[in-house]
Amino acid sequence: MSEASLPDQDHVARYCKPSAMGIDGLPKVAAFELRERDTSLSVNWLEYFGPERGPSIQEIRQAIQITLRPNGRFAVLGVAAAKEAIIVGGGSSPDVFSSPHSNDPSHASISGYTIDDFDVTVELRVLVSHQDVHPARM
Amino acid sequence: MSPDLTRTPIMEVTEEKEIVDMLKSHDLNEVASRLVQLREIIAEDPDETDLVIESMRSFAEFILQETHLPVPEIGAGPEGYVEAEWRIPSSGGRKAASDESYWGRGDGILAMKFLPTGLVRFAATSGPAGQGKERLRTSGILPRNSILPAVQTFISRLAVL
Repeated sequence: MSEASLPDQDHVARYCKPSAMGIDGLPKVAAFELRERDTSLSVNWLEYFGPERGPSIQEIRQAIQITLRPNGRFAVLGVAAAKEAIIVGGGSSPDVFSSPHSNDPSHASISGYTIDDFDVTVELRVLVSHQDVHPARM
Repeated sequence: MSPDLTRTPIMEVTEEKEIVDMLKSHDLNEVASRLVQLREIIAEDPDETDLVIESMRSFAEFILQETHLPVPEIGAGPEGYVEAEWRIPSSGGRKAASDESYWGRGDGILAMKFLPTGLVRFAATSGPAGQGKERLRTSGILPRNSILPAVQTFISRLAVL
């Protein structure tokens, strides 16, 4: 599968490490910040596994290529909303695209901002409410 | 004999534990507790970057000066810089008559990243407001002691909690 922009109506899940989860059960801004070496934010495409959110999250738990911590969480973002947030926050050329890994075909990326675009990370964070947060491990 | 941390200038503090002890000595126990908890979580994960001491110190100095603020969520950016953030409520503000429509349907965020230089990168936004609706936003990089006037609109919203 090649890299391709995801449909606006689809969703992606961002793994939030325990240190990036707030006392209130919502992600901190840090959950959406890029590292210096990153050109995009690593996420997983829910609809790759089907339309139902619960089963898709479960598939992502199996497929994701990082160690999921017990207190980690997945935060779900809408593709269209994420792109809008990047524009509002001052980023440019936002895209949410499939970027499959060998053992993780649902891997995707959010591009259009840099490590210096703190505004964008705040805008992405604001999109997340409690109903968008799911345990990383069951 | 241990030093009197209520009298020690924070910029002379060189250890994470001393910063935490200093916060406690000024009755900022909840802030100290959240900082300790963050350090512990980071220490458990080999993929995490250690907190940068100069950033911790800058955060602590800010909090020691602004004790009237609600206790923030405390996080760390990928470079190990301390970040403080406050949820901005979507309703119930003092200025309801004049600007309520700009505060959106969900909570907004005020976030500050404490750079080791003493500068603070900040961004604040009101909550999602729906297609085509204007929202309140501000951002920038300022010296630590200049931040609050720049985000006063958002801080005043916190004061009604």
